Amino acid sequence: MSLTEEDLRKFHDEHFGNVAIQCWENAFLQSPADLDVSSTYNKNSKLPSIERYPDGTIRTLTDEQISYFRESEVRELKWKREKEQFMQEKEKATKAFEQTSVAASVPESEPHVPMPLQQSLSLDSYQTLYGYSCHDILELEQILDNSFQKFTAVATKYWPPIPIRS
Amino acid sequence: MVDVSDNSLAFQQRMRTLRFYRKMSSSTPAVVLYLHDQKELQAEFSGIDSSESKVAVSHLHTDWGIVDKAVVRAGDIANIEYILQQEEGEI
Repeated sequence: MSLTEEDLRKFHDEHFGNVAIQCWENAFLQSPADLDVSSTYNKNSKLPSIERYPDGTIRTLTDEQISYFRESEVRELKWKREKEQFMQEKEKATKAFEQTSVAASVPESEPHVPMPLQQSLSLDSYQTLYGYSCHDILELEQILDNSFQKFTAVATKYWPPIPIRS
Repeated sequence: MVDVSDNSLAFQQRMRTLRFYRKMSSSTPAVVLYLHDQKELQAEFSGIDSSESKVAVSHLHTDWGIVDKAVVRAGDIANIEYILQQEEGEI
């Protein structure tokens, strides 16, 4: 059997024609980046096409999911704001209470400890009040305090234990 | 500027108070303490601090018995009655 020119043209069209070359390129010459799993299914797939954002990123969340997440985020922000507000109010109330109870919270001195006026008045104040004879007063006050301390040195308690007028 | 007479007056008044308390501390007279809750306590005066904020007493008669030594807060006391003994020849 001899080959004719027509046979040769037919062979060329089948294997080296435009369609054949395109198939060859699609099958063997595509870069890996262009290949993705979905693409193998896209030819015959009945699945919806992948959505992408304008910058090319694949969209993985639906609108319904986005609204749900947004709702929960808003709820969490609101809850955080309310908690902060509650803590601030609580702190203010605590400070206000502490200020009102400062006087009562100062510990009472021990019964045997005298409360001399010297602690509240300076020597200059004594001199201003009583003149240059203030030292006599200071001396007498010291005598009173010493005798008080001597008497109350051993196991002396307040009576009544709780003050009548605080 | 404080007047000298005011100074001397204040000095005399303060000295009188302090001398009175010193005398009372040494003689330990019987006292009646009238408290702000309408209670009366009998005791013996033993001393007081210079700021007159704490009164030291002995043999304090309370509802719970007699307390040997106690300190009464001046803030609780409305009035102190000192029962003084007349000295010989005193009217």
